Amino acid sequence: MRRFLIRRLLSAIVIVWAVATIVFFSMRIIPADPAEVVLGEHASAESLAAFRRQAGLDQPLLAQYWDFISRAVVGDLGQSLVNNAEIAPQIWFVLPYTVVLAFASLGVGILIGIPIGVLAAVRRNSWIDLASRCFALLGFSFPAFYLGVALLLLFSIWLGWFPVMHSIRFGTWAEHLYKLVLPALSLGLIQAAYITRLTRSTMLEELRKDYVRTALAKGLTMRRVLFNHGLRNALVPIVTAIGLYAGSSLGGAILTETVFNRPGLGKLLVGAIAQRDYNLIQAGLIVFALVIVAVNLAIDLSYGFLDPRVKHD
Amino acid sequence: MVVSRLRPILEDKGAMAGLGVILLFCLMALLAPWIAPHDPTTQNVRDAFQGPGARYWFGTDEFGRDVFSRVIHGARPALMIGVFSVVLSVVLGMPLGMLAGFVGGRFDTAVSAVVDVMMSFPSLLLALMVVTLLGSAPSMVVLAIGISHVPVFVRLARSSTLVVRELDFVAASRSFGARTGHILRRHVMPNVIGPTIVMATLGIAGAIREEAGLSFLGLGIQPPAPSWGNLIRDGVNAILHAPTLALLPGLVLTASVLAFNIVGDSVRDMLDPHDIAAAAAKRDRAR
Amino acid sequence: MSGLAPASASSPPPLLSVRNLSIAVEGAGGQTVVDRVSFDLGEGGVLGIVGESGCGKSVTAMSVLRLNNPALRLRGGEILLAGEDLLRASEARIRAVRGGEVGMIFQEPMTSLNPVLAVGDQIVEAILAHRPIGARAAREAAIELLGLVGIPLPARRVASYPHQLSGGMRQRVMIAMALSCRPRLLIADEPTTALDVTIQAQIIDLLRRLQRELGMAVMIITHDLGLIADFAADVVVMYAGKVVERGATRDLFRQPLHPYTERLLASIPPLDRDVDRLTTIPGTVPSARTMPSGCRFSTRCPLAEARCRETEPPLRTMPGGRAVACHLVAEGRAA
Repeated sequence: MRRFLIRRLLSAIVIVWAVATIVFFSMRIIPADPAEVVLGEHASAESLAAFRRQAGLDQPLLAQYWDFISRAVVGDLGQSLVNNAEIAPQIWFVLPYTVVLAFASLGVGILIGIPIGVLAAVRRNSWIDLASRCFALLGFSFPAFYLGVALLLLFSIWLGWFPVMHSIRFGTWAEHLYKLVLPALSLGLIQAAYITRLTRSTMLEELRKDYVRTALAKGLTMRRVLFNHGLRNALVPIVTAIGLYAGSSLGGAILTETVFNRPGLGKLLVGAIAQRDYNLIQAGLIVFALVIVAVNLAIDLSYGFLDPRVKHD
Repeated sequence: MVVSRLRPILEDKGAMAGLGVILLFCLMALLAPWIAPHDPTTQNVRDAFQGPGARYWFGTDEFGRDVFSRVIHGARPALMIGVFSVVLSVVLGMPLGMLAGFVGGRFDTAVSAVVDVMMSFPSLLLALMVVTLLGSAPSMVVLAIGISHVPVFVRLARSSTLVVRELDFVAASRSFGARTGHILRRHVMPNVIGPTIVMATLGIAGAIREEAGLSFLGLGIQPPAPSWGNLIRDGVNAILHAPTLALLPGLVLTASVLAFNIVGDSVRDMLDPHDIAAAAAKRDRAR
Repeated sequence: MSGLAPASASSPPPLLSVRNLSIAVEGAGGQTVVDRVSFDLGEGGVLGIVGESGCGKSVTAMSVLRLNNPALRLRGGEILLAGEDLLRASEARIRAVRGGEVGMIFQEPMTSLNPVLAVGDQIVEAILAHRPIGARAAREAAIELLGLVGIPLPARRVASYPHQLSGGMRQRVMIAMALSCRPRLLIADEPTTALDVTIQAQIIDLLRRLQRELGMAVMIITHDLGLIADFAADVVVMYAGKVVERGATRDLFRQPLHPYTERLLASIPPLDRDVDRLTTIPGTVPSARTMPSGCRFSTRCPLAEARCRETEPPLRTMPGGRAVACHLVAEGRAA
């Protein structure tokens, strides 16, 4: 177990390092000159040179790379090209918003997807099965950001239950929660579609297995057979898939944060791209990678608890 | 082989409806200048923010442009980028996956490692990065979305190849010393192509959605050119003045994605993703 | 002990009485997989049900606890447990019977246990479903049961997962689970088919010992008549969904009456001498489409005559509780 942990941790570090390296060099081979982008086409040669010196862009590439990596290791992600502000604090500020949104939407997805999926599998070809399949198909097709727009229209514009444009200040816990509802719902419903379809097909497969018959032969109630035996076994593939969707769910968060004007890593990144703040883009991408790798690590470790047959060695 | 198995699709009502919708969108894209009632970019500020009505079916935006005409013209970038980016992904991904699965060894390990890492990243993020680096010209958007979907096709082709590789007739022709390229074209490709068609159909749905997402963020098709993502973005910006402005273009977008998903699903049922697994099971029983 | 012929009204009802059980595949033209099967099993008796795969013996066994695939539909008959019709009992009642009064073990110990739960927990679950005791007491009982079925170090094995046990050990766990509530009847559906030959004998020996110690009735389903020769007191031979012969095992071995039984016996490898080849029954069980209108065995029977192919022989009861369904036996020409 410990050896497995160390190996997975090492590979996670290597992946983040590789992403950081790729991102760093891609940002420097692009045709655009950051100094020109920031100062404008009409900036003088002197001011351009001064900007480059200040941002360290006049150094040899490898020196810049070493400087970047050695700082990043201790959590220093450099300064914004646009306003010179330290990047790390900005990221620390927005990261919790994205993490909370991701977890909340995952929660919505699980709470809706697993019960419907189980029910659809048990009552195969009933109306609820048909409804679950329509729901899944719609969920696959609705772009999460458009669903966000539709929810905004319905609940904010027409019903007036939620404010249309959020202020960046969030305030109390209740306020946080209040402003989380629509974004989490718009991302979570999409995830629920994936989880529904997956739970249904996995449960159908599990319910055909011999141990289900054994459990029934013991005189257990159907509910116990379904949840303690069927679902318990189905969880392994379900959790795997949730891990795979975790990435795309974070991708959806980029759009959702923009729709709801909600602070977060995605919105920060999109803003940075619009302003061509290459340092901020670079940092944003690396932190995204870090979050995704961490999620995958957590999923890998969870197998040990879900499936005793998995040996971590 | 593949074509004959596609025949039952003609009897699947859902799939036929999906195909019909796709055909409608294709016609819309082809004939946009002739069927759109107005010019998609002509501004007519006096008619700004008109609600849906007889003259402007989907209403007008803040510049008085006809949203319905813009939606019709928006089918062009959606379909073009959707199809071309998936073609790019298949062209890059399928041979790589087949080769990795067939050759095996370190090459396979390396390809699989890169694919695994890329798969764990949201494809939108990969596309964002490419667009950031290379700009938002339509060809670059195709490249961005195409590259972000390559891992899916690599993995698919690789896993199908792994199964086919062990089948008796392939093993036999290998033992006769047939060249790798020949075996891949002759034996492996026919078995990889079915699942790839399914994934490509579903991939077009994903690519259309992704193009809309990029455009929505202002990083895809650049205004004033109409694209469904732009229209939704404009609609959200004006959500207080004209609440329905984003609604109808979004429905059109969803309908097109839905159509490709339905067709992809039923092609999947036709081709039965299990048939390769079934072939493997048959092989095991024969032993 | 276990009268094979359906009991008369005056004597107490047998523990298990299957009467005219008919089961068919769902749908109008569905194939009949069990056709008017009847037999009795007395309290504490041991009954073997024998036949080739597909003869309906497993479907019959599963019907007792209503565990058949839902695509198989009951067409008629009753299954009485101490006089109570299980086929028409409520869901709650059948749940109480399952694992309570009737325990069941299956063919595949590899897949019949839940792979993600410790074996102890699976036994505890069975106990808690029927007995009003606490979790700790149930765990003690589980350990005791594991010891009872001959698993070494039961206190440690209770925490093992199925994949950590051998096939024989898993079948012992299944037996422990089935016995956890001291059932009056144990149904063993091909309990040794998936196991090594040496393990097979051990499991049968274990079942015999437990049956004597606990005084329960056992219904054992197998395709291997030799395996149960000195375990089951009575045997029911099934062919293509029908009972073709039934009687005391001793009589059956001494003088098989039905040609099919005779061939089943001939296919048992003798233990005392080497043989060059075993007799096998040529051909296969006919499918629904090729099912003959007369005797179902007529397509493979070396003695079959014209009428065998035309009219179906009824199951005739003979002196001593023996019964056989063969035209030729009635005239004393077969066997």
